[in-house]
Amino acid sequence: MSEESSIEVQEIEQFLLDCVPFDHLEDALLQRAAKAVKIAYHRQGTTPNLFQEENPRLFIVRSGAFEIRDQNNALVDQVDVGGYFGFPSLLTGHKVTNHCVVLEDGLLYQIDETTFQSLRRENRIFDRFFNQAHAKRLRQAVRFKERNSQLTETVADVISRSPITIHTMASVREAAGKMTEERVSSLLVVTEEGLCGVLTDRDLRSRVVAAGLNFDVPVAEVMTTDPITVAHDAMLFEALMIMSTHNIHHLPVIDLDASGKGQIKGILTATDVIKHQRSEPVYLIGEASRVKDRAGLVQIARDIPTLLRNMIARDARAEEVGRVVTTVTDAITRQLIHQAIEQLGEPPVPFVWLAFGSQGRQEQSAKSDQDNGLLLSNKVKPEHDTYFKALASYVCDGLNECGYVYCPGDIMATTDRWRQPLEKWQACFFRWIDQPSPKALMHSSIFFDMRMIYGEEPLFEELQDSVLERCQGNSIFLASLTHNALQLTPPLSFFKKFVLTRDGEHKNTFDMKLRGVMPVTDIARIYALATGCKEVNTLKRLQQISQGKMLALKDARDLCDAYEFISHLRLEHQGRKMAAGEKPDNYLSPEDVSSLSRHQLKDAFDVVSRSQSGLKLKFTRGMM
Amino acid sequence: MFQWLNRLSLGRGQEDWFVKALNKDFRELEFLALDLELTSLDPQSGDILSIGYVPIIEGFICPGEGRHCLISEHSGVGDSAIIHGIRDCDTDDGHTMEEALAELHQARQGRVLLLHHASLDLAFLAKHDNSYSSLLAVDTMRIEYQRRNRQGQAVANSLRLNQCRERYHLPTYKAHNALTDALATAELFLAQMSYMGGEERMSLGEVLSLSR
Repeated sequence: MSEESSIEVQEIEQFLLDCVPFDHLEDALLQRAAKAVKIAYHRQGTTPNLFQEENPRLFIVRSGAFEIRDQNNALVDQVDVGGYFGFPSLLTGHKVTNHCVVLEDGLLYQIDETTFQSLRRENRIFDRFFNQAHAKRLRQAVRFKERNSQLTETVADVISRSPITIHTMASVREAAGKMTEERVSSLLVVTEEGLCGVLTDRDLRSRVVAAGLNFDVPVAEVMTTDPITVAHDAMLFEALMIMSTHNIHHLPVIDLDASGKGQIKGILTATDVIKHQRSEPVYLIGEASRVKDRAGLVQIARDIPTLLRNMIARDARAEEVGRVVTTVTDAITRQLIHQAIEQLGEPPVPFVWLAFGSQGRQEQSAKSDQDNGLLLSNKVKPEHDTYFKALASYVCDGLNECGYVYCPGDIMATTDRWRQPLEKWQACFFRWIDQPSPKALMHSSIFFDMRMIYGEEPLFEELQDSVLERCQGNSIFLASLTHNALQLTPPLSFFKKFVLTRDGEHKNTFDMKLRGVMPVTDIARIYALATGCKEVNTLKRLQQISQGKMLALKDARDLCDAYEFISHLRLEHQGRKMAAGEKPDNYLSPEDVSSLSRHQLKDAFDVVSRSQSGLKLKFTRGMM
Repeated sequence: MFQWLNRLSLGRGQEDWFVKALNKDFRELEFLALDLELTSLDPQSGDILSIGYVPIIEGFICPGEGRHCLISEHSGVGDSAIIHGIRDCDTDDGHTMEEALAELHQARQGRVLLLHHASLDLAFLAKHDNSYSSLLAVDTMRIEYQRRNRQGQAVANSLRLNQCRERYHLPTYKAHNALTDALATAELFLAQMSYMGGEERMSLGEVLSLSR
């Protein structure tokens, strides 16, 4: 070989070096691979005949994007720059049944079988990589890969053993024996119906021994009845929130099925959670419920951008990011309310702190304004308003200091209209529902994404139930909402090209929030209101609605996938902005994402468009 | 029909091969994509600094069979170093023109030459070997010129190699040397063929017509 031999394939070698596992090859093997590369060009829309039975090859995408489909034309894989295909038949020797569709003009490198097998033989990492890639393919393309980070661990990940239960009619003596035997600090008390209480070693001390009770009394008499529970798929920090809110240390874990019946999964203790407290949101939430003054909360809020950046960097699901960030906001809000009550004294009548919009939906990310209100008991008297006005000011000012800036539309508890007794709130909602005008609804739709952050649950439920009841079957109201929702369409032209902003500051971009995320939240809201669904989170709404007849399961799932994809791309964009030291915004340029992401984004937008058409058919028939 | 055939300069015994080749699909043939780095754009005063080539065999570019030759005989790289990054000292261990042309001649056997802006590079080669002055080659720049003319698009200032490549969504190469540019030309050629003929048969005769 001449001295220039390594220069000769420089461009090829350089590219391969950027591709795992070629970067693990020894120099001689890398050169062998580069020398074996043959290049072909493929034009968008063609289906080149790449897979030849007698001549299997490894294909490496040098540019462009390609789709692999099986004999039934089902999608097997989508690959872009640096992606591979063709390897399964090289590994198994099985007949090739797939075919390839060119999504975007591109160059394909191919490596012949002899070279590929020699690289496998001579480099273990290379061999292992393709074996794993093959195994992964077999598991079928799960669109969003499983991730296991501490941040996003669920309750089910932490509870270590099957539930230890005792019958409600057993004696406390038996209970104590069982706890000692199983070495646990608590028991789940059950009847034939299911869970009815919790018994802890503390209950035995204070309610039995200290109270001088006979050890033969049934468990039912000393247990905590109707305990607060947590869903097994709730995230760990949410469980922590429940514990700190109610000052309890044992949480029964329930798996709710579609009918609302629960199956007992186990019990989560404060100790379980502490073991996992190293992760940041848990720490932030824990801190937030401890600090005694506003300045302390401002300090904690400063860490939210870092938390958000870290989660994005760790590739957390957009849904999880929304829940984590919102939970921190909730914790800060609750602590502000606690602090206010500490200063102002106990509230004169029951109240509920309401969150609307993205906080209501648990979908906050960077740059969230505050949207909140105060729901007061009907027993409130005019002279009580001083108290609640002061409470609202304390909390809203505090939120503003923490970076949740005042709502530009004044949807805040400090505004008199949004600090009202139940009957006034109901009158307000009923007016929107009974006399809907698209214009009025444009501004009020976020009120329908309401969630209780603090206060008396029955009061909140009364409002929510009456609103949902009023919405159902109210076709004019639903048609008006639909009319508004259809004003925001995904930025795709008839020919499936991106429609970009033509001029101004955000030239050649589209607004991922306005044209991507909001259309889906609108769709979910309308279906939720039409079916009386109490969920406010978009994905939870869609999941619950898909159990009914209004929206087909497949359509709901497609829409969930599309929503997660769009939200995730938006978050990645914000993450890039933050990493560059810029203010996060919603303006994405298609040029900023890989060609594969562009294709998936078009698919996602297409799903949203089709859902909008479905919405129109269902709710505006003959009306507009 | 192929009047330009008389411009052909072929070695003895090659006419037959070429006439047969004219009717064959270009994917059944071999091409040699060629690029030169020069000290100036003027064939009168400039010299060849390096020769790079990559074959296309049956529709596939084979960079592993490519070659990059630095030439030691030249009158100094001068300002052209800014473009190609070759310094005088880099070519000290290079080949003589005679060796390089002999290797090129060997590599050309049974292959059709393929260049971007063929007339310039061929003029430089003709200084050393007159047979290049009448050699027929496929020119990706001419193909692009004709294609854009037919589509009624502006041609001025749009025919540089990288500009042409962008139109076919081909990646941008950082390195600027004769071999990379030969590879880039080969890729552009396949892209042009794919756009103009698709999967359809396209004879060498047609390809040459497109590049007149």
